Amino acid sequence: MSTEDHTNLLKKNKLARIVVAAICLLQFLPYLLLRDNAYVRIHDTLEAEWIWYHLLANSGVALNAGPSVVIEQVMNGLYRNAFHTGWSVLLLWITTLGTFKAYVFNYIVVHLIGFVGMYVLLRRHFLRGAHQLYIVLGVALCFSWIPVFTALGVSVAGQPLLVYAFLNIIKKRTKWYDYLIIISFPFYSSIVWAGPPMFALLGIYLIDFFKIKKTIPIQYLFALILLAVVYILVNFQMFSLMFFQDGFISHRVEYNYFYDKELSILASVKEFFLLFLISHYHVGILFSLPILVISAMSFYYDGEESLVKSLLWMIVGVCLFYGFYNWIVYLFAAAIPLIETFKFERVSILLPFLWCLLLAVSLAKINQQGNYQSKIILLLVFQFMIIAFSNDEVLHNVRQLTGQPKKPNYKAYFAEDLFKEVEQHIGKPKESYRIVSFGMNSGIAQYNGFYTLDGLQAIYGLDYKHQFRKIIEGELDKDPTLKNYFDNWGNRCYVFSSELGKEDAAYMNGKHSTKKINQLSLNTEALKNMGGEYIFSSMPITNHISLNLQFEREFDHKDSYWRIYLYKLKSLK
Amino acid sequence: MNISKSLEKNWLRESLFLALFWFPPIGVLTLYYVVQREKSLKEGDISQAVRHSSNARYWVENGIICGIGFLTLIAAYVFIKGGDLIPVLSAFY
Repeated sequence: MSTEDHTNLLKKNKLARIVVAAICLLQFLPYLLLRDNAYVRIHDTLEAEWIWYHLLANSGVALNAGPSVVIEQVMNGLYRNAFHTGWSVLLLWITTLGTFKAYVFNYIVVHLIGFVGMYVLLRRHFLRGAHQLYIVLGVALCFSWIPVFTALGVSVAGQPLLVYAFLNIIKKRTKWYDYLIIISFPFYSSIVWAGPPMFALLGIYLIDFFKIKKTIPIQYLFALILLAVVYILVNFQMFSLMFFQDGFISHRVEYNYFYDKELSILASVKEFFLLFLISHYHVGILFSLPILVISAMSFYYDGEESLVKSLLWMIVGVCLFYGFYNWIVYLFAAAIPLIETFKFERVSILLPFLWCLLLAVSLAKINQQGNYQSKIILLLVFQFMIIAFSNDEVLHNVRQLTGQPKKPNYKAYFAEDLFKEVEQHIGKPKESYRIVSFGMNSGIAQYNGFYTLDGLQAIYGLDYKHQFRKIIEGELDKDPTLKNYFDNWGNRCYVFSSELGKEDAAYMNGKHSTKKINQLSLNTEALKNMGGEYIFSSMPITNHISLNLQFEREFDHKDSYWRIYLYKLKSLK
Repeated sequence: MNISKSLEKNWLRESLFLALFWFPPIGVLTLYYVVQREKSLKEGDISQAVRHSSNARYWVENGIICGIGFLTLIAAYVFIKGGDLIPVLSAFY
């Protein structure tokens, strides 16, 4: 390459960096324009993970892992140790910025870490040439737009950066920041989601290295141990709950792994293909068919080079493990109960990273064969568009901006003004009474400071579950699906109704709905015994008199997604 | 032009893949060039065979890209339509 050509290439690369950085930042724009009118993912985020951090941040006991410490606001005092670690970076964001701003800030940081991590990994260890920069930038951009669960921190988006640090160590190019990355990762990721899969990935690499070089890389091994130790220290409260909490029995011991799964080869094959083609929604939807075709194209040029094939086999292996994990549980859970309660199938969390890495090395292979730059850019544009369209948060925010919302925005979902009216009507300190929600997520009342008997929790007491079951026993008896859902899973400890089922209608019944509940079977005596005084219902309960409920008032607010029908247990009036 | 290199692949496998699984309109076109290439070879018209072979290659490459482009449109439609088309993801879209 002549000096002039080289100068032109550098100029082009500089421009490409600016364009790609601008597109990367574009995904954050709706949050800045809409502020709290922006959509934030509800499923497992606003209804669970983010609310747990919110509760922890406001509890004053986030860093107290004492076995007797409880958070009174949830389920008549749920052990603090049943919540996430207090040493999470996410908690730091919420404490310093507030719940909404923390979400946006975290969203930006997580996606930027994804971009930077993929960029430095590819640039340092895979695609080093100046003529390959546009592939690196394109793939890093694709990776940064994948709709990962930001409430899990950098569990997905941080993988390239962590792998980058470990590769630096094994290639003896260690810098101080590699250890900083390794030590920081457990503070900003979920041990249950990212822990075992990352150890599996890095462990496989270690074994592979040992097979080829016939030597154990001591520094790498030390870094792995360091990662494990920091993970254990950061998540000490979880281990404390598992091993030192006298008398606490988690509701998870009654889990039946097969409550929503079918044990058949056909079902496993279906699971395999579903995961292979769109990844997992808890991980980040990634429509992978184009990458598969691109990698197949690169096979022509791959020769004996095995990286593309290795990555593809690794992806197939992850998907097979996920698809057929129910058989592992079926065969071995009796001997090793941990495989049923811990769900090692979460190894699927590696898929977005592996697919993007596969995309990068496949395109690099094609690029080596000739002047394919414009075609490769076109392929990257298509792949990026697919990822952008699959980003549910971006999609809903575009709908918000164009005045065609399909789901409630943050402000409407939490409806603070509406709940203030309810609070004023009740007129008592919130800690002096207990409530349950009906037709809406319990996290909304919790966010607004109410003390709830119901909740969506990853861990809570088995005895509490049994107590709560008495309240909804009549409804569970009416609907076998609901009964199976609560008895064999039970993370959603909600007031269910057979008329609403267990899907969205059961907890996302907004004011646009005209639904009424006609035959609710509720054991209000059991509710009273647990301290319940009020029901916040998102729809009228027409048989409330026979249930001994006093209808107090209907609440509505222009900014609210909900209309609340307030019922009080009659005998307490 | 390196004639032997141009003729070393017959593009049949790629054309069949395009025609049957990926993007049939262009797959059929590449199959046409594959057949023409074989015909020309049989007739001993090497220059025509090279021309058809390079056409087949050109359309195979572009056919794959067109297929991915078409898939992008479908994906956009599916995700925008959301839960109506993908029940397993209805909680998100």
